[in-house]
Amino acid sequence: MILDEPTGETYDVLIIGSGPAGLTTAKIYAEKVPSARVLIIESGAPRVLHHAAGLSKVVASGDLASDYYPAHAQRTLGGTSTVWTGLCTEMEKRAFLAGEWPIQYKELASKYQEAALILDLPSEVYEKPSVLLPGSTHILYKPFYRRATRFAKKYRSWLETSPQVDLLPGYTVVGLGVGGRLVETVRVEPTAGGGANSASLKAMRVVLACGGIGNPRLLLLSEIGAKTPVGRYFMDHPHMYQAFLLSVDRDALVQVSGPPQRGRIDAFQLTSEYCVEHGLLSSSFQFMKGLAERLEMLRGRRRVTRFGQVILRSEMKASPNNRVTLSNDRRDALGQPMAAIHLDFDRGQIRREFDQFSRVLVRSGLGRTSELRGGIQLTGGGHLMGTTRMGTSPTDSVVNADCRLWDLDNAYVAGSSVFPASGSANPTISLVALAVRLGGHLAETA
Amino acid sequence: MNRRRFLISLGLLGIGCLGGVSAISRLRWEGFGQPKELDLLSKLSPVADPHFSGALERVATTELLQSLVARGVLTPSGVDFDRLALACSSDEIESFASRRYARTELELYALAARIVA
Repeated sequence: MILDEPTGETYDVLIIGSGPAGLTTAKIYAEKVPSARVLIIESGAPRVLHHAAGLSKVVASGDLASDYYPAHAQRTLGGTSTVWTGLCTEMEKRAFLAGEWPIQYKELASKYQEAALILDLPSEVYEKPSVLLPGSTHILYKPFYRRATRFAKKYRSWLETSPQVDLLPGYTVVGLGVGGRLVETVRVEPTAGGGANSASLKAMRVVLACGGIGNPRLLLLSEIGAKTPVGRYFMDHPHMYQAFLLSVDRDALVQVSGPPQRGRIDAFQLTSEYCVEHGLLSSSFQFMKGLAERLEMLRGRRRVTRFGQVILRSEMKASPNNRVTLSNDRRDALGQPMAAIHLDFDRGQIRREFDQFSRVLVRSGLGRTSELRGGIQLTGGGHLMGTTRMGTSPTDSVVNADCRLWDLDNAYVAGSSVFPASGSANPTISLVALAVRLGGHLAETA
Repeated sequence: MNRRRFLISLGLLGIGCLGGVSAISRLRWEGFGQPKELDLLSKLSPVADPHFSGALERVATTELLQSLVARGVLTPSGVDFDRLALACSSDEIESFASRRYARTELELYALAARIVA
């Protein structure tokens, strides 16, 4: 049910944030443990609350401006699923092959089917996420599938009627009270102000699911994880629109893609094995709208090609210098230090990845590119990742392979902030898959 | 042996400045018993596109021809597409008119544009 105000109940699991990660974790856990009681706290109201949006303001330096970030940290029921464009494709294996994740790829891949169901995606997304272009050993056809599932709409009635799950909207978590290795209390205040109505909530276990900035910020505000790299290794996906012109042999493309399909967007990338062998990160090269067909000489033969502009979407190398900290002098409406963010893109890396892709494509005879557009003007993808990264030790990570905070026995993190490497795929399906995994883990260890 | 003779005739062509495009297009090939003409015009027509007439401007036509023949891409029978694919698969990438090409294919297109134009 949807609560008007906090209750004194001690819940089995308390989840901070009602975006795709939080709602998925709650749903999977509740389904697997029918006797469990779950509380989800949402800073915003079921509709966007003006006061809540203000709480997402940041102070930014580097390649992305301060006004870039709040749109990607929606404080409302459904979180960023209220605004996302719905592009989904599985994460590549590259970072797993390179040993950058502490889990095997199959642990993530095994959850994609459930994630696809949650996101209303077609089965192709997990049955055939990518396929080699005929005649190439290094170039994958790896399309995106667009289904902008709105979690607020999809789960609203479930939240209203579930006997297991309570939603507390309009309250913002301002700190976690720790005793020993346990989170003992979760301090909340009404988002609209009015500190007199603040409360300390209790739960056996707590899941932070408040985004790539919200998660580290809450840990920093609560002085948790001081010996771990909380907030460091911040990543986004650098995007370059109209990056270059791409021609791909139509027959080869149709052979792997079949006829055009509504909601499917053609994209290409180098195989993970090739990237690892050549020291590259993952990059995706996605056709933009307005494709044409044109004749192109490819290896001496006149071929019909699909031709158009490309969005270049790249993985960022995880760097400790890109990070989320707390502002020393700027505070939000609740009196909390604002998040201070620094993020720099590596344009040289973008150029190298384009160059390799172009080289391999041209050599394969399956297509051709133009030169990369000058200037390399990049923007982010609104994919805030890596700030509570998963790893094998507290020195290089914030959570372990179960997404549990190293410092605490009953606190977990859900969302793309646990990604130790981002891949180039839009993160939602992967963070939902990890939330499925976390929900299952919470149930198994209940 | 055939290839050697072909190269020799090619060299003679260059040395004797018979040159230019019209001479090269009538290059004679004496192989397989009977003399026959390497009709570059017809062999290169399928890959000719005036778009490439300005490609590799600093490379002489004879040099392009020699390069392609030496690697077996251009033969008396015409373009050997397998050889072309093999050459392209390890080629350096060249830019022409803001588009990227494997060096060998660009040589072929440049030669064809010059011969057929």
